[in-house]
Formats: sequence, structure tokens, C-alpha cells
Amino acid sequence: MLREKEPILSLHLNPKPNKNIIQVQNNDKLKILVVDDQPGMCETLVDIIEDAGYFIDSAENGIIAIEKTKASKFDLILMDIIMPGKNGVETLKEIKKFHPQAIVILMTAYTAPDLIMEAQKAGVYECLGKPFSPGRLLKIIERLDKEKESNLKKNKKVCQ
Amino acid sequence: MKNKVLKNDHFTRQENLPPMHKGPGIAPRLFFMIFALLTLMVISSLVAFWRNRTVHDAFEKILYEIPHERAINDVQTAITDYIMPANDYLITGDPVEILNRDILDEKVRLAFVECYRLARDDETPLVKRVEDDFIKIKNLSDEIFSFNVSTDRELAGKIMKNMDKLAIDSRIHVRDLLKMHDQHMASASYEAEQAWRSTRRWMTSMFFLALILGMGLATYISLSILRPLKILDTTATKIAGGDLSGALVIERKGELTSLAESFNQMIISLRHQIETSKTILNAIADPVFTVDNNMTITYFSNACERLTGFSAEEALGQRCRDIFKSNICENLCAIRRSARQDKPVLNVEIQMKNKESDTIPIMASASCLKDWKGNIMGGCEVFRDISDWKRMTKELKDAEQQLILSERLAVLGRLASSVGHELRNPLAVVQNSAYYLKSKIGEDQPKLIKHIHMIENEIDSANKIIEDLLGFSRTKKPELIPLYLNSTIESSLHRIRVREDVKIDLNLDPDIPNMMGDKNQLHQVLVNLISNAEHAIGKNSGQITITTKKRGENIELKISDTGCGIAEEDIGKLFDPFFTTKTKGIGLGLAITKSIIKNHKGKIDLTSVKGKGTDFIITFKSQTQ
Ligand SMILES: Nc1ncnc2c1ncn2[C@@H]1O[C@H](COP(=O)(O)OP(=O)(O)O)[C@@H](O)[C@H]1O
Ligand SMILES: [Mg+2]
Repeated sequence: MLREKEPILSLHLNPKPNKNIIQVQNNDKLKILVVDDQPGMCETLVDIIEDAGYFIDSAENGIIAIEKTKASKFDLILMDIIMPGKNGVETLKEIKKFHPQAIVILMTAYTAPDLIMEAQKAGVYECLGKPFSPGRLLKIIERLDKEKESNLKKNKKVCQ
Repeated sequence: MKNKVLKNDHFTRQENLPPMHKGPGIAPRLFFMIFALLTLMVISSLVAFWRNRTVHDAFEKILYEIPHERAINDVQTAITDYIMPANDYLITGDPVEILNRDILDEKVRLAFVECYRLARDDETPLVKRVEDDFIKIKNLSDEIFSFNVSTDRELAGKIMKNMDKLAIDSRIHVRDLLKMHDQHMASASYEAEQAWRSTRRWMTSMFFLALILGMGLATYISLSILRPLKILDTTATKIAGGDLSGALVIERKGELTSLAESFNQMIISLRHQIETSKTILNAIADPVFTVDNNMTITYFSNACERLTGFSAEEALGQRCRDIFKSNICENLCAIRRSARQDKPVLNVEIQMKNKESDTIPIMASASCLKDWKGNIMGGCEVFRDISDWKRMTKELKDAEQQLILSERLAVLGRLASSVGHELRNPLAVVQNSAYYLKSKIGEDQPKLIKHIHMIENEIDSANKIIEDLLGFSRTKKPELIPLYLNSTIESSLHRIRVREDVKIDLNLDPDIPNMMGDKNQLHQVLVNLISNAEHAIGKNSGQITITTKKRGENIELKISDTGCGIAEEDIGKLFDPFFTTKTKGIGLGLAITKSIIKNHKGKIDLTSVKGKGTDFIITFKSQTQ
């Protein structure tokens, strides 16, 4: 079977992770929020990521996501773009206002170039086209987690 | 025959008719003829008159001599009348009185008067002599009766002798006179005969002269009058026969000049009319020709020449079907049909062949040619080369179909797009679930793992279909940038994977020029074609060859496979959206490919041998074009 080596929609917009995460976390592990209007998507991702040993919460729309982020600062937010009410990009912009260190990965089933452009400007980390391989997502999460860990270590060294 | 160019005739052509007039006109000729005949008549009558006089004179003379003879005879009788009684008396002595002596005397006198009157100069002395004799006799007779014979016998004898002598003399003298008279008579009759003869000769010659002259004149006049009429007749016959090349040559003004001028005017205007109608017929852009009842071509317009390739000279007199070689000449000829139905036949589509035997589709309309009595004398056909029109209508129809198709495709595209996108969401969930299950199932559950692999594979297939659908609905214009096709192919192939036993060979011509292209779309083309080739090869092993080549200014990209090939009846439908022969295909690959190549201003062709393989050949224009 012929298959492409990479999904067409996977664009590395910000290949380098945000270097200035200096916030001290209670838990060393990455805190993740999944935002999707589709309950199946939230549930499956929650199960997969939880089982991988991360803290994960879910929200079914943008407003709830903003509230939850305000309540407890998530390191990584996995968000659908097309959602009823606030769409992913708008939510991203708002979150970035009060929590600029948040790493946001957008997921989309649609090819919506202008929204992706906007998201890029607002500082999205990566856009994933649905369906994507959960294994790949886990690899990204793992990498981000390692970065966070080393950042924390650096911070600790700085404090000491 | 005289050749002359009529200057004021704008058709300027050689005149080949004889001149209308030569020499004097008809009026002087007629005058001359009548004058000549009158003169002849006058001369003849003068001659006749003259001859008549001569004859008359001659006969006058004869008539003149006849009473003369009578007078002489009277004289002689009178003399005898005098002598006889005297003689008797002398012999018998018995005096017999001369009866009616006075009447006798008067008679004799009158006879002599008559004799004298009618005597000619040479006769007068003879008459005189006779008169003398008579007087002598009369005197002697008087003398005899004055005496008594019986008494004087001797004297009587003497007198008798005298008397006898006188009687003899007088008889001789009368005879001389008569002789002379006879001579005159003879000469007069001779003269008369001569006069008559000469008159007859004159008259005969006058008759023949008049005959010849009259005939000559009549011939001359009639010829000279008839000649122009003859020329007119010849010309009219020629014109009736359709030959308008000549005109009457007028050398000099004459009685028929105005007729001839009108005639020439008529020829010119006829010629003009014919020329005009010919010009009009020839100016008609659609070919026109006419045939007679034997289907022999009688007129062949310029447009006909252009379309058929035959010149008018070649075509005229030929049978219609020999020139047009149309597919339905024999049984469906428009002209024949028109003749049969007695009304024009319009717009019959026919295939005809030109001189080079190229087939030309024509649209023909025909009508009957009728003479003034309404008898059909042939047909006239106008036709039109409809190959351009046909091509145009076909293009139009194609364009129309294309439009309908593209509209339908646009709707379909939007539908496909939303369906495709919406399908991705559930697929994503299914994929996540499968992943989760896989991570939970241990190595000891191989069957479950197999099923999860199947789920994942089918998700891939479903994704592939959605990709196709979305690719098809993505009608956006290519973002053309200059690119080197070989590099694009190579980088594209890094992203394409095929089955192990399918080999991809590259045969790239480094000399190809740059072209304008959209890398993503070209990649899509390669993906589509290579995946089709892979499918065509099926489960066997096979080979896909990608070749680029510089073709003049163009770039040729060929993707060949050793697959199953394409059935001939499918080739036409191959690029239609949703045409597929595969159970798992949706038939959009080639439709997308074609539209992409069209947007690149390139073209795509294919050759295929069933069971051997297929070549897709794409031609792109170079950047500079
Ligand atoms: N290389 C090839 N060899 C044989 N058949 C081909 C090839 N490429 C295309 N076809 C035929 O053309 C059809 C249409 O192709 P495509 O438009 O790509 O749709 P699909 O691949 O979804 O069937 C295919 O179903 C197949 O029958
Ligand atoms: Mg295909």
C-alpha cells in the first residue's frame, strides 16, 4: 500500500519550543488540557495521555477551556480549531493573553489556511491534521515534558 | 470581318461582327434606283417615239403612194374613156355621144389634180406628159366628133392614126409613170421594213437593257438593304445562343443606325446584366452551381472553384457527381429531390469530396431552374462548407458540457469537501481508540492485535479516499513558480512509498528547461499516477518508469508501467470524475491530475496495450513560453 511518510497537514510552525518557561510547577510532569466539542476525541485522548503518566483535563468548548486554564495553569493545550461558540484560534489568543507560557497544539479536520495563519501569528506550537497518530502526539508531549524538566532543573540551579 | 474595339464600352472586347453599312445609305440607293428606272423609261419612250415616227413616216409614204396609183389608174381609165368612143366612132362612123361628158371631164380633172398633188418631183414631168397626151387626145376626140367620119374617111383615117399613136404614147407614158410610182412604192416599203426592223432591234435591246439594269439594280438594292438586316439577324441569333461577345460596328450614319445603336445598347446592357449577375453569383461566399436535366454542370461559381479545387473550365460540362463525389449524390441528390417535390429543398447535410479527395461536410440547398413555360430545365444548388461550423458547434457543445460538468463538479466538490472533513473527526476518534486498545493488549493476544491492525489499515484507506475527495474539491489555482521538474520529481519520490516488488526507475533528462509549476500539485499528480500504476501492476511484481525528456521547447514527463493496461472502451472515460474500475477506487485521481495539468497549461495523453502496460505522457511548456 502506498502511503505518505508525513501527513500533508502537519506543519512545523514553531519548531523550537518556548525557551522561557520559568514558572515553577507543583508537579514536575506536564499538565495538559484537551479541548474538543467531540466527546469521543476528549475521552480517547484523556485515556491515552493519562495512561502515559501525565495530568490531563478536558473541556468541551473554548469558554470552559479559558476558565479551566485560568484556574490551573496548563502547560500544554490540545485544541480543536472548529468548535461551536469560540473557535480554537480565538480561544488560543485569549489564553495567550493571561498565560503566555502555554504551549498550544491545534488539531483540525479542515484545511483552513487563513485560520492556521492567524494561529501562527498568535503563537501556536504546532497544527495537527486529524486523524493523526496518537503515538506521534505522545512523542511531542514527551519531548515537551523533557524540556520542562530541564528548564525546571536550570531554574533550580539559578535559585540555588 | 472586321475587328474593332468599342472604346466607350467598358467591357472592352474584340468585336467580331461585320460593319452594318458600307457605301451609300438606303435612301440614296433607293433614289438612285428609282431615278435610274425613270430615266430608263424616259429613254425607252423617247426611243420608241423616235422609232415610231420613222416607222410612221415609212408607212405614210406607202399610204401616200396608194392613192397615187389609183389616181394614175383613174387617169388611164379616163384616157381610155376618151379614146374608146372616139375609136368606136371612127370605126363605125356611128357617133356615140360620150356619156356624161361633164362628169367624165370632172373625173379626169380631179384625177389629174390628185395625180399632181401626189406626184413627186421626179414624177411631175411624167404626169405633165400624160396630161399633155390627154389634152391632145381630148382635143383630137373633140376634133373627131366635130366632123362627120363617114364623109371624110381619109381624114378620119389620119386622125385615127394620130389617135392610135397618141393612145400608145399615153399608155407608154402612164406606164412610165406607174413604173416610177412602183419604184417609189418599193423604196417606201423597203424603208418601212427597214424602219420596222430597226425599231424592233431597238426595242429588243431596250428591253434587255431595262431587264438587266432593273435586275442589277434590284439585286444591288435588295442586297444592300438586306445586308445590315442580315447582320442584325446573325447577331440576334448569336445573342439568342448566348454569345454576347460582339457588337454591331457602325461605320457611318444610316437609316439603321439608331436601330443598330439600340441593338448595341441592348447587347451592352444584356452583357452588363449578365456580367452583374455573374459578379453577384461569384461574389456569393457560398458556392453556387447549376445543372441541366442531365445533371451536367452549366454554371460553377468562384466559391465552388475554391471549395472543390476544380476550375470552372474543368467542371463545366461534367456530370455533377463526378465533380462533387458526394456520398448521397446518387439517391439523395438535393436537386433531384427538389425537382420531384417541385419546391426548394433546404439544408441537406452531405459529405462531399474535393479534388484532393478530402471529405468536406456541406449543407446544401437546392431549387429547380424553370424556363418561362415552367418546364424544369435543371437545378441550382447552393451549399456551404460546414466543417468550421461543425467544429465550432462541437467546441461549443464541449464547452457547454464542460461548464455543466464543472458546475456539477463544483457542487460535488463542496459536498465532497464537507463530507470529507466531517469524516475525519470520527476517523480521528477511531484511530485514537485503536491506539489505546493496542497499547493495552499484550503480546499474548495476537488475534486482537491483528484486528486492531486491520482497523488502522482501513483508517488509512478511508483517509486516502478522503484525501482524493478533498484534492478533487480543492479547485484552487496553482501557485506557479519556476522549477526544475527533475528535482521536483526526486523530492516528491522521497515522500512516496510503493510495495516492495514494484520498482521505480528514473530516467531523467538533465537538459530539460525550467518550467512554471506548483510543487504540491505536481506532487499530487505523481502520487495519483504512481498509485494507479501500482494498482495496475496488482499483486505481481512490476516496474514503473518515470522519464523526462526535452521535446523542442516543451518538457515531456512519461510515467510507464508494466501493469494490466486499459480496455479500449474505457480510454475515453478515463479522465471523467468518478470513473473507476476498482472496487476501492472513487475515480477521482485522473480527473484531478487532468485538471492540475490543465491549470499548468500542459496536456496529458496516454497509450496503453492491454495486458502489457500503460504510458501516461504529460507535456509541459517551458518557463520561457
Ligand atoms: N496505469 C494504469 N493502468 C491501468 N489502468 C489505469 C491506469 N491508470 C488509471 N487506470 C484506470 O483508470 C481508472 C481511473 O483512475 P483514477 O481516476 O485514478 O481513479 P481510481 O484510481 O480511483 O480508480 C482506474 O479505475 C483504472 O481502471
Ligand atoms: Mg487512482
